Amino acid sequence: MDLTLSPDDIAFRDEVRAFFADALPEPLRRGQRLNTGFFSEPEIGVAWNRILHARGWIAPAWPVEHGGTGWSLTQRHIFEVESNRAGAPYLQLQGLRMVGPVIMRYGTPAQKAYYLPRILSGDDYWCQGFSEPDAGSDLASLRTRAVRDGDHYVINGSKIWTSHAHHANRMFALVRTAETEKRQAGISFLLIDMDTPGIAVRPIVTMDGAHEVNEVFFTDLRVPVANRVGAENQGWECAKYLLEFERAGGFASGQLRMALDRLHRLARSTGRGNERVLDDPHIAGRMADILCDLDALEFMELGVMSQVDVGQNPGPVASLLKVRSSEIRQSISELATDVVGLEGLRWHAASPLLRNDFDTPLDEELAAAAPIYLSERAHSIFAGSTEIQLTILARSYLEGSEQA
Amino acid sequence: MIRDSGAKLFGRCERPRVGTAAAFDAALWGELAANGWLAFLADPGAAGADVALFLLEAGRAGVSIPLIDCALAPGRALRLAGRADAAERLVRGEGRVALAAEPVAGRNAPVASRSGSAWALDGECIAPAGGWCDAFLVAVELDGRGPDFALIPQDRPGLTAMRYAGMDGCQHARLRFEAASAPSGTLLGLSADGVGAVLAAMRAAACAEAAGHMAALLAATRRHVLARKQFGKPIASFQAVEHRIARMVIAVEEARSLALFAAIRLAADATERDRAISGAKAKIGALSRFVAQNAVQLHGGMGVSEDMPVGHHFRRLATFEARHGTTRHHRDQVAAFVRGAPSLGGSLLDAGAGAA
Ligand SMILES: Cc1cc2nc3c(=O)[nH]c(=O)nc-3n(C[C@H](O)[C@H](O)[C@H](O)COP(=O)(O)OP(=O)(O)OC[C@H]3O[C@@H](n4cnc5c(N)ncnc54)[C@H](O)[C@@H]3O)c2cc1C
Repeated sequence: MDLTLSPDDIAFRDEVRAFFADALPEPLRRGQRLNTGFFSEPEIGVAWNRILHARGWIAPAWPVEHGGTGWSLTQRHIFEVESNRAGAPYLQLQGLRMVGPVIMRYGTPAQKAYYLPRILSGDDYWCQGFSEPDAGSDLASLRTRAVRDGDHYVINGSKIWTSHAHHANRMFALVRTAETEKRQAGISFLLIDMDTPGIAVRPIVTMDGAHEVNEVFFTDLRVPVANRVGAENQGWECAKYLLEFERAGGFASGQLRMALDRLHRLARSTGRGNERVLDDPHIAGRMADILCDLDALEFMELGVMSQVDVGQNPGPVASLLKVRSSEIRQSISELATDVVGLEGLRWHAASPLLRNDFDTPLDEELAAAAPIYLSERAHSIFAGSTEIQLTILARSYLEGSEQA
Repeated sequence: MIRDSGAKLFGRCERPRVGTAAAFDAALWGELAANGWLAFLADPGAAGADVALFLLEAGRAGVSIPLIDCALAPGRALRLAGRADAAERLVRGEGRVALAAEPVAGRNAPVASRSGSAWALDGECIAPAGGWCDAFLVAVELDGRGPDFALIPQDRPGLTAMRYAGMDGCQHARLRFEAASAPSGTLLGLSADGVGAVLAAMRAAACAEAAGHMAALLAATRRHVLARKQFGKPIASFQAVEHRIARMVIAVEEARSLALFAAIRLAADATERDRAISGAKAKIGALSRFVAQNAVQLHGGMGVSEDMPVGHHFRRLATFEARHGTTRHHRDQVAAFVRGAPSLGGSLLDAGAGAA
């Protein structure tokens, strides 16, 4: 792999930088600084989505015919790095990285024409209705039932842990359309309008004090058959395809480098008297470990992504990237919590954090570190827990060839 | 006996709602006073192991009631200083005093300097139960005379107290002293040894409480993995889960052992005592992180939901790590001992024999 940038790439990078300097307003940067979850608050994330969309840069990972940018892998990586460097808000990935690719691959022409532009523009806000109370790691055991009634499915059951269901106007969901011996063979993939009668959303508050996830109940919910993606009972294929994007559809290293950089700045600006936290060899040593971890991760990501075409995903190696990126992420926020110390382990009056006023940038950092640590415990649980990823990885290596 | 009483007393306490501190449980505090438990904690001569067992139950129940900050530490300091009346009021549950001994990052800890015949205080610190109290027992450094405690009411001119909810469920106060007057009688006049004894007892008790939180997390995780079914069987039947549980069992046993060891060593000479306490605090800190993180992990999504008690214990353990000298600080203390020790071959019984 060649890690030097060509003159064209450098010109591209400068163009991207200039754009971020110009187009990313301070309130959105602030929203990202004080964002303690994986997704931005809609007022931040959607606002940024619209700005990127207006520039034509909302979906670099999509094929050009659907609204992608046509960039090379290097350019996409540069964009990701610069975006994080500029402090841009996290985008709402359920549309861009999850249901978007599924619709591109399995959707009807009508579905593509209707939904894809609305994902790009930010008009639709998607949530993911996969997990159920009794179907977590064992997703295929899901029981939410969809029964055919003319042109509709009638749906009863419930979903749990649905991130941002309380903000979303659409859900993509897995439902059971047949009782089959192989449970995967009776599942269908549906697109649901959250405004339809028969949907109730109940908040779940998490250990960081935030409300991001929900329980969603369906009672005689009617969904048009036309909203099914793929054939009836073929939904599992869509789900597997989607999960590989969810696990490693982009470059986590860009985000993580910024998280480490942020920690580095924090450790430089706090301390006692003339001693900075960063001068503590133990803290610097842990940051050194993380830096090397990130070198490996970024190199692996570049290597893996160079093997996949735009609009595709890397397959089982996604598990490796997911395990490492969630571990590295958690090690950064854990260390940040050590750096802020006791004072950081406090609640603020308003939730989410961005609703509070802070006097200085340092106060913002002190406030955000511990909630981020708490919220990031979920990264080794969602999108397939670390234990499940390790099993996938072990099987794919043991059943494959000696060359990993 | 102590275990059962603790379990009974603490069993009915409610968890604070996430994002807030608990209300101070005045009824329970009154009961602890009436039954002599506050006096027990405040007694410098109480058997370390008994105190540890009591705190272990408090941790297991996840109570936010400030046994250490408002009874054990200030009570012992007052008793050692010969302030029998003040100590008596405290253990009767009249007037609440919070220990204020945690540093604020980037700020100087409180220093007392002479100002005429009195003293004046400058600096900042955190009283992790201070938000519930109207007086503070502040750890101070006396100009040229070593450490002491100062007993300061909240309305003392020159003191600003900022109150906020801690993630441990306690109402914290961050204190700032700017030339705060400390007339005679404010300083307790403890020797360095006296201050050391109070801090050591407090740390040992905190270790025991942490071990209790860890035991509660382990028990909750056990219940969950036995009950939760995925792929047609309890997740406890997957070897990856079993081995993790085994590691957690080991960690909890180690933590409990070290907490008791540290408590027993409170009776040893200061060097032995502090070595044991630092070792326990450092190691239990690391073990608590392991147990807390894995408790969340093995609960899956339920682990991050506030419908479960996991998050509360997790946050209390994170606060434990950040307090009483951080995990990092105490590990450094043990490392300093290692560098200076002529030999590392001594057994627990060698050192214990000398002190007994
Ligand atoms: C913050 C958060 C946001 C989420 N957002 C969404 C969302 O938007 N949409 C959605 O559909 N879902 C979402 N999820 C759900 C998530 O995908 C599930 O939590 C995850 O699949 C794990 O399922 P579970 O919680 O039921 O845990 P379980 O499957 O019960 O697992 C519990 C523990 O057992 C382990 N385990 C299970 N099976 C095995 C095995 N065979 N071998 C070894 N170990 C095993 C797991 O690794 C875990 O440690 C979210 C979860 C969280 C925490």
